[in-house]
Amino acid sequence: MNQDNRKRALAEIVAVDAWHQGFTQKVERVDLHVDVVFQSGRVGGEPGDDVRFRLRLKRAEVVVIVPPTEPAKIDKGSISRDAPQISAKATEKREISTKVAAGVKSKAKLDQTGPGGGLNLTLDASAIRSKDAAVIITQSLQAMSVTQTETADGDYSWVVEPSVNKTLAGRPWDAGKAPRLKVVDQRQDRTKGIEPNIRIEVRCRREDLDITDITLKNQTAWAGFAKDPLGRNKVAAAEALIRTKLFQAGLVAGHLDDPFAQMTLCAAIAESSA
Amino acid sequence: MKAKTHWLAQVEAVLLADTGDLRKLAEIGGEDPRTLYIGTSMDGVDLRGQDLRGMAFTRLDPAKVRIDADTRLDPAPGSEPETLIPDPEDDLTDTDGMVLFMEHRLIPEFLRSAPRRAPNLAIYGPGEVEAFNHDALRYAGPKFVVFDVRRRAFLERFVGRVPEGVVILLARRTPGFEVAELDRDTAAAARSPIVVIQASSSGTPVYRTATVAVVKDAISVLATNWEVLEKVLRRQRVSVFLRSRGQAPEVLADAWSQMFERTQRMELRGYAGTRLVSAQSVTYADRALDISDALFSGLRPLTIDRRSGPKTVDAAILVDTSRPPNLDYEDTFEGGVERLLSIRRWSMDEFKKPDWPNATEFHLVGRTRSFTMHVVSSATPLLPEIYPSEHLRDLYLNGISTLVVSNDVNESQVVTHLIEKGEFWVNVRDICTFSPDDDTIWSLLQRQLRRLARVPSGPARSQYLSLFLRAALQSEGVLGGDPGRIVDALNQSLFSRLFNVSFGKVAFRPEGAIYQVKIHRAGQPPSAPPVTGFRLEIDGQGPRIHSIVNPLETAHWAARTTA
Repeated sequence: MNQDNRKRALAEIVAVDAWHQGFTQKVERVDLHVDVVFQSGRVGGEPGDDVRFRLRLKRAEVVVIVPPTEPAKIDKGSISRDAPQISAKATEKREISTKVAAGVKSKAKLDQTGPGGGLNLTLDASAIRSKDAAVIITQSLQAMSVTQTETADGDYSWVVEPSVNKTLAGRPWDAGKAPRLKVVDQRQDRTKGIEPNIRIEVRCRREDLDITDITLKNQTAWAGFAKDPLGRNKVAAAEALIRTKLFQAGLVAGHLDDPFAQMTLCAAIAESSA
Repeated sequence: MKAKTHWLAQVEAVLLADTGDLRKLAEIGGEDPRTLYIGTSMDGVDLRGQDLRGMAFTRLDPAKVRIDADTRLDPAPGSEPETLIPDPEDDLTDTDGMVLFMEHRLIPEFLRSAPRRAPNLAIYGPGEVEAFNHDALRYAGPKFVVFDVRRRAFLERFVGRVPEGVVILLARRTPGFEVAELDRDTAAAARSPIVVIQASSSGTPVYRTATVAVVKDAISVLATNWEVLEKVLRRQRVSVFLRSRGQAPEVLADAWSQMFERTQRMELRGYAGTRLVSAQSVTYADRALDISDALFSGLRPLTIDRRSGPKTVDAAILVDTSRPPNLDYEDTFEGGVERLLSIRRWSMDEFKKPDWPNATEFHLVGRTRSFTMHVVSSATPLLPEIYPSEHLRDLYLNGISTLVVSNDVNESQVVTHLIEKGEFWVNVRDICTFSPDDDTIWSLLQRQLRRLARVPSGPARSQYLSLFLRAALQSEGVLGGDPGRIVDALNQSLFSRLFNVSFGKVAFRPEGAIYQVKIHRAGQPPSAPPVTGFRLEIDGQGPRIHSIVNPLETAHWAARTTA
């Protein structure tokens, strides 16, 4: 029951959908489309929850799994290795401040001897000014960087990392225009039997879960907490606890003591679109 | 414990706990403290007094947490490259040296400090003293223990316990040499030689990273030349390590000049010691070797292998401070300058020392020119003064006949002394290659320009740089292009305040350099077009301006001009 709660939290931050054209007698090789969406989740919004926090992902791996029992294989030459096309805008505002020192001394000592002294003084005063200028730099950047790789089990995967922000948001690629790979149906007779099952999983490591803005709903308790000198220790422990609990809910392989153990955030079976 | 079933209730219990102990907090949350903190950043956490042994942390940066002598941590796991600490159980056969850091926060900075050729070192943290001592017994190579001098009581307590054969490095961030007494006392207590690492030579403490970089260089130099240097350290007992890096092309001459200025500033003179001389010839090496002979005649030369040492070290010395200094004229600023000039074969006429040791005067006779040279070991610092351009107009650099050599000569001092007294102030780096065969003073001026062209921008720099632009215009050294805008700008009475002169890209030649120069209106963003841009070529013959580009006046700054 508790597990379900946590899985719901995980489902909130990433969704995956996958499809391919149906295999027919003529069509043995089809494009596999995978649509992945990352977003920020608020956990603990329900009545009865005493703690609230924001959950995001710092990094994720999208894995395509063709179980060894399935009569299908992946066309190696078709694997998408291109850079994603979706871009984000990064705007940086730079303040440029040029301040002329206020304490301008005139060369009074020398100038007193000549008639130009007074003039220099007034000019000095007018030279004291300060100007702030702002330059806005806008750059088009890839929102996420995608690296094609393989998992330890030999499945093809794409590691998605944010390139502008600290966490993942949005779609790393256009699922319709950029299929991940081509699947080849290996059945003798493609009109008979069941179509091969292709599974897609989104995975991450424990440290990829970004947990922020942990707050207590009880306002009185929270106000006291803000003054706690050991508050940072407690928040770190709470963060570690949330991370570990979520991780247990999605743990696929490995153990809790393995820093590189992976969890599955969500999974889908590719649907055949007739 | 099963008060509430919802998992968030356990999180709440942790947040409301009355302890900051990470082990207890894990237990309150119902999880195993050994694995709970994997993947969680520990930045900002207070670990003072906590025993965290047996607990795994993958994201604990020792520089970003609060720890004290009672904090107990396992060596960081090998999972995070930044905090990687080699397992002390590792085989030490491939190691070039062992280093024990008595302060945890020095380790990440040591490992991170600029990628440079460093020996393969086994590193131990403050919690691994026993492992270090154990390994030190069966390891014959170089062994170091690094202390931060600020923790004085700690230092005094531990220095005597460092095993024999381990070199003690004292990293010191604050300047001055007043702790020499402490070093002598602790040296008496220590069974090992002490090396003081002094990063700062001026009046201000330096960043820890700067000190750590010198620690790294010291360890690299010592470890790669261990056979000879171990004997030196044993003999000297307490040594101050200083290193410098020279500017091309006369790398070594420049590095030794810098070293000379630093030792003078730190009053580290008259001591015995060792200077490390490279076995490899660098450009102008023969000349440069002479200069370390001239400036550091009191330190014994020792040839070391420079190829395997760090690239950042062009000159290095180990000053023996275990014995009090014996100050001769040779060791003074004046004495060093005099010997430098004499190895450059200047004939020094009418040499006199009117009121030594405060000022010395030479009459230098070169092949075609002669100068009066004052040597002022310590000059009173001057406040930066910005003069109206009229005062700079009639200065004639080619006609300079009085030079003053001092320590710490900056761009404001040069201009002020030139205007007020007609003296041109230089430092030892500026004159280190100045030769009587030079027909002009420009070999010296261009060296100084190279040193000062990079000082922070502002009116004082613009004023200094304008000297060189005026000199080029005066000598009609304009080769191509319309210098009208340069002349107009320089003629404005408030040139140094209204305009910013910047020296961009530079190409160094053996006899000089070519600078890309831009003149901007002060207060404009760097992206705005300059008033004018050109190249300033400067060598022993003097400065020349060419390739002038006058960008079209855009509405943007035309508007500013009228404002």
